[in-house]
Amino acid sequence: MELAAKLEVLADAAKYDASCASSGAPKRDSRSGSGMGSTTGMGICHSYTPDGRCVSLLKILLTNFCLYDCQYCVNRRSSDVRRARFSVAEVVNLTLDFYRRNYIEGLFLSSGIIRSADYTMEQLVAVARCLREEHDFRGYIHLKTIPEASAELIELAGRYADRLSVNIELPTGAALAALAPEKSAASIEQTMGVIRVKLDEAREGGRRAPRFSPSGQSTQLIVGAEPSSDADILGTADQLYRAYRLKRVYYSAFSPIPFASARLPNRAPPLLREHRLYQADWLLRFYGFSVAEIGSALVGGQLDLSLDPKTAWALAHRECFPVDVNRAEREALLRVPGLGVRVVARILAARRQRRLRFADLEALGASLRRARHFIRTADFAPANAALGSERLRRALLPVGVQGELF
Amino acid sequence: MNLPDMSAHTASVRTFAEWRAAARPWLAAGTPPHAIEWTSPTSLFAAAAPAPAPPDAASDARGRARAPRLPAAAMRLLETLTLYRDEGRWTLMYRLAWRLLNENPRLLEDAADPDVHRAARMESAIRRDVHKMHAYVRFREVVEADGERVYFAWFEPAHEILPRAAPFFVKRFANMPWSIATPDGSAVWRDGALTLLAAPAAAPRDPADPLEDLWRTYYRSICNVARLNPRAMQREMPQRYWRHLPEAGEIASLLREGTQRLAATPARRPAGVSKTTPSR
Repeated sequence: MELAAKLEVLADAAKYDASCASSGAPKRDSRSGSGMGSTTGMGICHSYTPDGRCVSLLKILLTNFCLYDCQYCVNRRSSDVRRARFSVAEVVNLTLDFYRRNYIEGLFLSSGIIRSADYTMEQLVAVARCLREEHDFRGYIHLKTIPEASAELIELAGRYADRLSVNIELPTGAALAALAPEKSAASIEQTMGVIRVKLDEAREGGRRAPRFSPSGQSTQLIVGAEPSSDADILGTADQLYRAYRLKRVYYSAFSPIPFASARLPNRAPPLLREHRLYQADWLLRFYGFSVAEIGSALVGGQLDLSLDPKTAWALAHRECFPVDVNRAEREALLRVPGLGVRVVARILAARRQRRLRFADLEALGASLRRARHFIRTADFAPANAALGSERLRRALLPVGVQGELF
Repeated sequence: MNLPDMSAHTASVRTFAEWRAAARPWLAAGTPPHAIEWTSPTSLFAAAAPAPAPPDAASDARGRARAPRLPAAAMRLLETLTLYRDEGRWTLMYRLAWRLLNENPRLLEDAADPDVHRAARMESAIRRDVHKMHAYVRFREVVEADGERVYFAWFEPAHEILPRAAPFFVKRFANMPWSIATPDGSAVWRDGALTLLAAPAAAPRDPADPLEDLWRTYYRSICNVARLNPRAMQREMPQRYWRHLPEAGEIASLLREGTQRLAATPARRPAGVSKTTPSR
């Protein structure tokens, strides 16, 4: 099979993995080396596809042949999809050829399971090793870690990769047992545990410790392939963040696949559900919310699709508002709908220089359409402080949705 | 030497160093912003033509003794504003410097101040422009007469950022001969030295690079046409960049394919949402 045909098959097979981050790697560059590549810590999106996603890494599978039969996966062994397999050299050359033209930040390599977990992992490691050792490649490498691969192989993967990931796939053990009978939540989490221990060792060992996945580990779970609720999903994510110190949990709305199993829904969940989960995830990690607090604004275990989760929480907790932007603590400001982390930082700095008036907040970048109902300034207090939450809720709905309710 | 009086002064500058040399004695003398008219000649690079002598010699003993001092963060901000393609930048820079020295040394912390707000918007436009240049430059491999492979790119930044954006490519491609041409000038990396050329470059005739076909294949295959979101794509990759992106030629057909598929299935996204996945 020609290289272009393989690329078509093995990129198509990789597109259901949402992760494309190239951030968090330690800064390095090619000036002291013989090859090429650099990382700035920030990550760069080199292109965007019409699905709105960024293209940062060459995201491909080494092969889409697979021993497993996970129902949600287009590459399961019972699927009729075209199969292909790259050689190690083909992936290495493709990565270098794309990188030197400035198309990508590096490589995100995953694979179907062939022969055994260890054999597959060895192949992935061989690609990373060749890039690093033979070509002195200093760009970003993300390797998918195969559950049940040996600890030695994981350690080797971490020596070459900037990030490792193991996909948890589904939010509950029961869902996994139903749709991916050959995978087990226990072995996936065990692999995450091995990675976490090595990450801790590398961090505590300082400079003398061997390098290990400096950008940490991440995971992905599929949303909407089975009936788990948003409460289940956020609970799982929160537990994973705590137990394995993940950098990111990616939520991937189930996308109906060709050659689909009859046990799967034949239509995708609204992409909005995926978006709301990301917003809730942000509240957990950067805004000081607990899962229980987000849970207090869920209806039937689901996030409100028509309102962002922070606004939904604020409507359920009117007693916490209005917040005085000239006096409130950072924690209270972060809970105001329409005020993000950066806007709050600007408010805290600016109010040391002046008493903030309503008009000032616009210059600071606040989204006043939402924030105005929840704040007090030197010259402003919300007129609708007494407004019932249901009317306020309608006022806060996105513009396109409002009309349909009247 | 005569201290500048309150009558109107003019200065024509084109680099940060020139602006600073011109501004320093006026700042030392407390000359208010409205008394100076700033303009800029056309070219971006100081190397192209010798800088005009500043209105007061920088070596003047009294000028040096009273040299005003600005915090490092303020100097960095002013230097960044230099890159903004707008005639008003020099005036704003002077007003900020004057207000920092005469009104409030912590002025920059007050993001609600109109001058600070405008400077912050300009700074973020520059940062974005530099970032987009790092992202969207596309090198083409050209085999020269002696067999050497060199890498060439043409790019049109919104602001005068080539000197700010070029070091990224030096770090990333230190062992590869490359050049980037822009309408303002070129950056050339050869044998461990970066040269910035002032001559405005013209867009070259396209040399073919067969790798671009593989890149287009990848772009088509990694796109999930079952979940189109062209608004999110365009917000991050505005159309003005498309002309020089080899993959952009695929966008129309992918959108067509996705729309046909959408027509075949009833599920639709609710109104009012076009957000991308947050990336961090």
